[in-house]
Amino acid sequence: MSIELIGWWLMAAIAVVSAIGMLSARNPVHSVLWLVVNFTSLAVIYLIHSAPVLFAIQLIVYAGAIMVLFLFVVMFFMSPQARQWLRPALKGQLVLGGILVVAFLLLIIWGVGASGMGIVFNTPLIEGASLATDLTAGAGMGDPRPLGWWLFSNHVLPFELTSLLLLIAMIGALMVARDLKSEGRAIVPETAPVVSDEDDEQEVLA
Amino acid sequence: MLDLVWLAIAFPLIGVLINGLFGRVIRSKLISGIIGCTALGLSFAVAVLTWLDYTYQFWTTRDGPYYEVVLWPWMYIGNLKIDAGLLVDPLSIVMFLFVTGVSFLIHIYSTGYMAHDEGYSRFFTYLNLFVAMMLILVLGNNGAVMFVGWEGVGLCSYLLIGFWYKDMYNANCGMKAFVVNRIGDFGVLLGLFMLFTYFGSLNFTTIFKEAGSVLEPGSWIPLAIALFLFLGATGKSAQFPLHIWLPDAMAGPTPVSALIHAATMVTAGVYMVARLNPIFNASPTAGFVVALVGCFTAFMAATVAMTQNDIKKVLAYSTVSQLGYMFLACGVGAYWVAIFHVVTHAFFKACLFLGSGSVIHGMHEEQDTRYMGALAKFMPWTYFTFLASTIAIAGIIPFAGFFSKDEILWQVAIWQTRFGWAPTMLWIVAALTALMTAFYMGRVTWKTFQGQQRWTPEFVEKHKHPHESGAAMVMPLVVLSALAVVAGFLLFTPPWLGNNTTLKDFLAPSTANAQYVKTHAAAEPGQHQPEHELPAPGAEAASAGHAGEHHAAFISLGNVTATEIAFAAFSVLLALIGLLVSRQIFVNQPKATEAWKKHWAPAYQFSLNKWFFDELYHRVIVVPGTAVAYACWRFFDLRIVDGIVNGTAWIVGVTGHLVRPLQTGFVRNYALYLLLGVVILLIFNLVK
Amino acid sequence: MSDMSVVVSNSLFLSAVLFTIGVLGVMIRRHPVIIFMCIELMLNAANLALVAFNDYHYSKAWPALDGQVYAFMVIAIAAAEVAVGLAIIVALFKRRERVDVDEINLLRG
Repeated sequence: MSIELIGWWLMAAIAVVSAIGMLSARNPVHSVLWLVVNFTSLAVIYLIHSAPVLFAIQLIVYAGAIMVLFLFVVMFFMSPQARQWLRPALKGQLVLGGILVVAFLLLIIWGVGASGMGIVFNTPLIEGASLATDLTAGAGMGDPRPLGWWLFSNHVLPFELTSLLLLIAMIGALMVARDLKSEGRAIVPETAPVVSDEDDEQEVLA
Repeated sequence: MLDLVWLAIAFPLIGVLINGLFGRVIRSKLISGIIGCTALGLSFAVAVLTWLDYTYQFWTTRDGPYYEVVLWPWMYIGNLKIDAGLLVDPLSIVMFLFVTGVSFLIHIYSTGYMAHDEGYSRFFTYLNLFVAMMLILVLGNNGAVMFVGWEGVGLCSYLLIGFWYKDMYNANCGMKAFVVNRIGDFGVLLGLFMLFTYFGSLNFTTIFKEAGSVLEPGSWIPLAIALFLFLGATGKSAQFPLHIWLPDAMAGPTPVSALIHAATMVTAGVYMVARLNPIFNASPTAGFVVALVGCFTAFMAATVAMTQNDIKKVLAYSTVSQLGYMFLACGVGAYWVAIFHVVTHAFFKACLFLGSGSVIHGMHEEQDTRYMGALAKFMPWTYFTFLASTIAIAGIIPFAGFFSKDEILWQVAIWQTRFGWAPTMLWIVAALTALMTAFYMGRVTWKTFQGQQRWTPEFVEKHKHPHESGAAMVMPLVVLSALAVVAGFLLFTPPWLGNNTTLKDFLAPSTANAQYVKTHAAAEPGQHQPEHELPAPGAEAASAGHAGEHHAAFISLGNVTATEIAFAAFSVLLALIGLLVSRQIFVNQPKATEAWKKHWAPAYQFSLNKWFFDELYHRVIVVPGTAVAYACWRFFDLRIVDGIVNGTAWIVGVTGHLVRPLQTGFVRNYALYLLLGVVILLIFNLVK
Repeated sequence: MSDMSVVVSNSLFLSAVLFTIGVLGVMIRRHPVIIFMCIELMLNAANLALVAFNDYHYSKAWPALDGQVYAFMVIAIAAAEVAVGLAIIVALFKRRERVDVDEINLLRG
């Protein structure tokens, strides 16, 4: 067992546990924190997979920026009633969903196993060149140049389009979330009925 | 210059762009008019330069009469290879010159005629577009390019007939022209398809080169191609049975009538027949049909023209009649004579139409000759130019019409065909038509310009008397009438009268054909020899019925020159009789006509109502067509087509109703469906 | 470093497990933010698979980093998606006290 493999198993265990914790936490704030743990462990796995740049991006962007955004939203807007755990409002959703999820997981595992990658547990697949050796042969671990070169040569157009997409998303988020009522021109008229389930209707009207 | 011949098309198109896109912005009639006229002037200049350059190159290099300019590859699909190319040869040069020249004059005239019209820049847009399309038609080097021009001029004709579209009648006339032309276009398309099938190409030069080997003379293939093409020609050139649209086309502005429906566009059919003369030569039957239809149309239109009261209607039927002459010439194989008549006719008919426009202008939109009379002293320029053109069309020596019409008659007389009776019959009918032509042209001239004043009281009260038109309108009249006087003997004179064969020699490379080779090959310039190929002198004149063999010319005398002189004198005599009789009747005894109208009422009504062709077509085609369409609508459209459409909608509705419960509106349910789909896909992919 | 490829195949299984947990969350949770986080988890699972595949397929003959680039793009697009999605959730929060995805069913058939 090399240090990488030990690290991998450790991080995998943390990832699964934190994912389940995210799923089952009663308090959404706890969910967010569980997810941060999950993303961090995934970042380490990226590092083990010789993706140092993604490791950094995962930490900074995902575990950092995005999850902080989640946290803000949850903490600013969460009301006590929102703390609900598994309460399926839909008949059969839990049962059917559970069956399908189990089937999905089994099928995926079977698929990976049948693909020829799963059967070679604990044996190296390809001799010679590997990503890790190539990367460390250059400027050492964490060199962003290979990814940068790849990003700005073969994938420069998608990269630029991504920046455009981010700009659009930013403007769109501003438009969607700004306070229409205070500006006095709501998109949805005030008189429009708030549609909800019939059993919740009185609650809303009250 | 030959490589730049496309400029002649480009200039009017530029005019179209400027006037069409910015006409409303320019808002200046002066500038619109200058743009329109300049475009045409440049185009005409290109034509002249092309002609000079071609003549130079032709006489110096002599490597074939055809000069092709391939502009760009157009359609390359499988075996079909069509280039957008232009063909410069004598035939296209002649058409090129007179189309641009006459158009230029008519553009200038239009600046005066349309001066008070709202749609001034629109008018010049259409006119320029028309000229561009006409040039594409006459300069195209293959059938497809020609067809583009063919359709283009049809479109412009439609647009210009309905130019004053606010009047429903004008719009309907435009539609009539379009629909009738469509029938002819269908024939052209079929003809082109057949050409491609048998030649594997639409290039004119290829067709000319291979016509001898591909087409078996006298077989049904050239006959079918020729008849399909001729169907198109009857549509465009207003020949029986598709002549009915041309008189109604007079709903357009008069310069349009002069340009499109007299001088240029309607000669497109003649041009096409002359252009594809190898096809027609390969089928004597087709030539016979062409001659027969042309002759009949000439006669029929002349009888109608004799009784029409609208000055433009008379000229319209006169045009139909003269086009009939041209087809008669084509039919007997004298293509260069047909083109000769196209050119002279363009001059005097354009002059006549423009003159009638000047009259209408001067009479403030009065078109009925019954309310005119004695205009000569008020409109002297118009009168003299009109008179000159009338004499020209009547065919009095030495005016242009004499030379072309007389040559047509002569070519008919010496026609060699296996249809023994045909030359005699056609010659007699054509001569009779010449007489009638002189009569009705005299009639319209005298009724308009001479005799008593028959102006309507309202007109007299409002305007007192007619006025002569402005310089912009008179100048083209003068130029055209001068051409109508001199064009004939400058281009061609018969052997006994100077033997000027300028046009014939020039056109020979394009229209060289059996007729030309057989009857004129021996005639060296300046020295006329009797045709040796003609039947022996033993066969007397008018003995066509038993002339035997396959050659039965009407005339087969040894001394051809004397006969030609006699024929010419006879046709001049006919013209003089026509003009003088009509003068006697309509100037000196106008009252007598009333009595004759009553006495010959059936014949008069028959002529006045244009042989009831419109009524006949209405009964035979329009009414049954409408009935069929109605039946189709009631049954096919309402039941089957609508049934399919409504049935589709019904199926969609039912399906939607059935699957509607699935659309619960719960996001998590949708996620469940998604997962279900993924699982099913995975099962399909993994479980084999 | 020869046992790296062992990790690769293991990572694919881990990816499948995390993705399934994310799907399960979308199925059973009602709070929109949690559902959103589950979607993020699924995206990350996919990213893990991409990175692992990159590692697995990397060779002298094909020295490409496409998998990592795709993962990079996924992160960028996820950021955009989070921005818009959270904005929508904020707008929903503003309109009503309780937020439950089962109450947002205007598109019911």
